[in-house]
Amino acid sequence: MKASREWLEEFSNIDVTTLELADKLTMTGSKVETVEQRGNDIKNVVVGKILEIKKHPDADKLVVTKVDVANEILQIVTGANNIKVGDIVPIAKDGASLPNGVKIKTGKLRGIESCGMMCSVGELNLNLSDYPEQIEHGIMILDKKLEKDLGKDIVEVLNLKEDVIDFEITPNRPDCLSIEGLGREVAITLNKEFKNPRKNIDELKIENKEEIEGLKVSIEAPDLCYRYIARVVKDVKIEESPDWMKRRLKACGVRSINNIVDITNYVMLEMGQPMHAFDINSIEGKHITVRRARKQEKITTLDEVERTLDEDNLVIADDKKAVAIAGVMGGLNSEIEETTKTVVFESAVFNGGSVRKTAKKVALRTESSSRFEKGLSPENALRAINRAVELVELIKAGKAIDGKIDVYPTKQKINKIKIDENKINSLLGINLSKEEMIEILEKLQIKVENDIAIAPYFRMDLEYLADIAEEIVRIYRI
Amino acid sequence: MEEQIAKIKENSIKEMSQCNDEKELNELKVKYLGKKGELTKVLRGMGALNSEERPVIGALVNKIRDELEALIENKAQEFKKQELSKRLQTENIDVTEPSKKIHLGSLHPITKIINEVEEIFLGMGYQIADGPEVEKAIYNFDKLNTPPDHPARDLQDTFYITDDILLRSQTSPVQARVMETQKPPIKVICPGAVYRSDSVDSTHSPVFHQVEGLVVDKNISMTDLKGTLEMFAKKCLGENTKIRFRPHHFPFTEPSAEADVSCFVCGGKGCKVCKGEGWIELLGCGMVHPNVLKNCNIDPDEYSGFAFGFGVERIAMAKFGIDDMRLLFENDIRFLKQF
Repeated sequence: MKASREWLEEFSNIDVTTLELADKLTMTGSKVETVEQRGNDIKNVVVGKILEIKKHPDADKLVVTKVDVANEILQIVTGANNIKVGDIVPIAKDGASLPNGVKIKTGKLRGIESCGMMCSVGELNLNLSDYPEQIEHGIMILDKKLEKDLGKDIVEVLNLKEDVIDFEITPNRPDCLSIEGLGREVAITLNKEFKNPRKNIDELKIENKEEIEGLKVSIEAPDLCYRYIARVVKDVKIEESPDWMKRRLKACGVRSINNIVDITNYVMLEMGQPMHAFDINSIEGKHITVRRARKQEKITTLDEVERTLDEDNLVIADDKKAVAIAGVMGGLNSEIEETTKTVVFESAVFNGGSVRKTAKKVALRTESSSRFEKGLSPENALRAINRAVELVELIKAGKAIDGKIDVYPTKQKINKIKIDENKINSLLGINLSKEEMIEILEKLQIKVENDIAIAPYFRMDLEYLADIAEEIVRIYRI
Repeated sequence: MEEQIAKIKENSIKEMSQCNDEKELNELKVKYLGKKGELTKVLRGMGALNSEERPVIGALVNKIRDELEALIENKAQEFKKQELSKRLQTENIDVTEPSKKIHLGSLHPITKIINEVEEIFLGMGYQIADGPEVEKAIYNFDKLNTPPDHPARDLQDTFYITDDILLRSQTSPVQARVMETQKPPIKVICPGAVYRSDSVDSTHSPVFHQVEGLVVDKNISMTDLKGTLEMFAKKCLGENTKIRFRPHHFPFTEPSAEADVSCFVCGGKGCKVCKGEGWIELLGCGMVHPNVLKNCNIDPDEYSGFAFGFGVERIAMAKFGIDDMRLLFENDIRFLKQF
């Protein structure tokens, strides 16, 4: 699970360097695999404006340019042919270093002094897909608006700095396959207050409805589907997501598709609940059924591969056909398209073992299936769908329709564990008072009432006294 | 008659001179002096002679026989001498020549580490337990709190022989076997080979070795575990070795931890061996999960225990500076003789 520092900071203050943070989190149980500090490898590259382009007297393929970098005018010789006078370009000045390890120094090209280099997208280690207007073999031409930033560091101007931590999360902690869960870990690790930015979502009351816009939901296999919530948004305009959202998705290694699909991925990354979005018109009979697949039932998934299922696999279906393999991947037949006007969001919780078996059978392990297979919280599913609808309105992708369809046959069991401080001390070989233990537990949002620890909804892994002991020892440390 | 005798003598002497070795000489002896030999025939024919001739001829034959015997004996001695000098010549030994080297074998690095680990734990009062490498799934998984739908049981990780029998993927099943047959206090280690369906590369092998440790008694604590491992690390990796616990997760222990040791190359400052971190991951460990105790008929309310398990190859590679696990299995003599 990848998380950017910037996103984590929405959930907790961070007053240490990213590397220190990574070390500390590793020691409280969120093992850090790698820390990537993007933008740190670009030094002394600034915004410049081309003032003059002249032919090189001794070389046909070179030109001699004059470039304004605010406090000086540099003469730069280049072989690029996509530049013109007035262009704003990234200039690696004398002494600059680039991500590929190249150091730039003043030198002579065919007898003419060159005091730097203009950079291409590749030389700055940027992705062409993030800058679709740029060309691969040529200088990166910046937005004219950046003329105000002449001489400024390109890393700041283009906001290239990004610290990304890649975590190896143990299978007992699916809640940490989310920025929110990791944010809780950051807060407790650094002894900060968890900011809880989703408090408004927790307090939302959304009315239950049998039917929205003619849509109905039924669960035929309650042993494999613990909860299915649907909400509908209308007047949807499918377009690109805003830059902040694309940036956060990218930091976590997720490709931006369009605003609606991006919202489902964003919510999955933020809250750990995989989501799905359908075009309401692709649901025949406007009736969603969660059922076992039929023997040899076929569905073509979003990756355009036809998959064959059997009765052990769970599907989301309309009256005629399967529209998604539950918890694994959506069907191509219900994909969000540019013409989509009304979107159904799905937030559901499926039996982990069943999702794991299905993903294995169809040889498709996805971000979604790898979360479901560890067992997710049905309580969190409601938060996630409400957050998705909130995001739709925030980025003006559409309008929320009131109410939700919420089929919740098996309520999530909240585990309660009697605290026995003597047993905990004896198991760990430490000597903490009950009050000290309770203090640690409450920081972890484990409420203690009359010596009974109540596991929060997102900690379904806490079942035994030994689990409570582990929570204490990973914070107290021996 | 006398003529005949003289001819025999003449012939025999002539033939004798043509003899090349002892074998031919023997044949000649038989031919003339044997029971059916020519001279003997003459003696046998003496019955036909008259009484005057008989003593004369008899004496003559005896004389010739004596002569012949003496000659044969001489000739035989000569051959023996020849033979001896020939042998002396061909079997000549140069006592100054250096003797041939006898190569002494040495223990395989894996065996060395296992011996060393056994030595350390025997010294701390542990017993050595053993279990089958072809194991029942129930011991490898079920009893260790790893139910049938657990990801660790996937086919791609484990070599199954049947649905219920497999090549053990860890030495942990020995824990369950020991707990089922012994009453606490239990203090055992179990070294042995384990099997996983991994492709061979510089850090993976489908067969490798683990050492499992298990202690079950009243009031066993996690600090006991840390102390034990610290003692082990100091003895195995050096007196100055430090140890730290990182929280982790295993199905059969709770709380679980991974133990790191301070890098024994740089002492914790950060170097190539520890990838600049100062710490090297050593093993997984934890307090035996109450479900595991229960599954093995030990009351978790009365007893507690700790368990740990580590890869022998990992320690051997770190300790001997081996950068490729394959070297440990290829058994190239040029590699092995360095240990």
